[in-house]
Amino acid sequence: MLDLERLIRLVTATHRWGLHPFKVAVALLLPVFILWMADRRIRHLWSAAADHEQVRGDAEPLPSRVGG
Amino acid sequence: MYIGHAAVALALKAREPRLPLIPLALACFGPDWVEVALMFPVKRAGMGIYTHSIPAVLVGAAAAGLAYAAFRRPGAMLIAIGWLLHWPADLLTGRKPMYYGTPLVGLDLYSLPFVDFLLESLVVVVGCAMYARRFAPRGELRRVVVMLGTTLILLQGAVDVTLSVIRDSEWTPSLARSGWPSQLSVPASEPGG
Repeated sequence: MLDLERLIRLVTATHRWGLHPFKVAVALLLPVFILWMADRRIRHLWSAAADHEQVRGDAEPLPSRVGG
Repeated sequence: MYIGHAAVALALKAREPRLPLIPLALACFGPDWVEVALMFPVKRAGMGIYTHSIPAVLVGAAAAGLAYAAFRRPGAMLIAIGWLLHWPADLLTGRKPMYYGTPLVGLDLYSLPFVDFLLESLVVVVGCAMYARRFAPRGELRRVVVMLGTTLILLQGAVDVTLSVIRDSEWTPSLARSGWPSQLSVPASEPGG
């Protein structure tokens, strides 16, 4: 049977060193990277939708509230 | 606070769509980045006073805002606000110095990982909702935001599960002087408790 505690201790094998700067740096980069990926995807979807609307010549343009 | 800082960046991004998300996110984690920089290459204790105390946060926010304003516009004010909001957010989950020579203050919710998870998840939901409000109600955009929020909450969950396993300290919230006994530790039978 999987021992969750042992698994977590294995994954965080350096936990005995506490908040080692390298671990903290990786932990800080992760959410920033996730935000960057999501924002990039949203901007891509938004510009694709805007292009599509432009080609169709819809009378009602997309609101230009998404920035870079 | 951990993922909550990212949610603060999302909420602030909704205020100024022209401001890129990456510098905003970096600013919201700003004091942590400075602390990491001060701890390289070897861990040093007591760096929090230079990064997470009120004067340090004020100086950091001003420096970050001015640095951003010098290169790009607009949104420098939000960069500074993101940096400033780090302190009250950390006050909920950890214990931080107010200024030099004072005891650490904070609710220390990191010692109650489940409560920390609930709080940070709530902050993520609010941040994502504010971020999504700037879009037209288009399904694919909303789906990305939901996936973003879910990923952030899962990441926080992983951190809190790890904390609950490896944390061996007691919950010691402090909003007063460290010498004062915690109100929570006073026995119920004691008069006036």
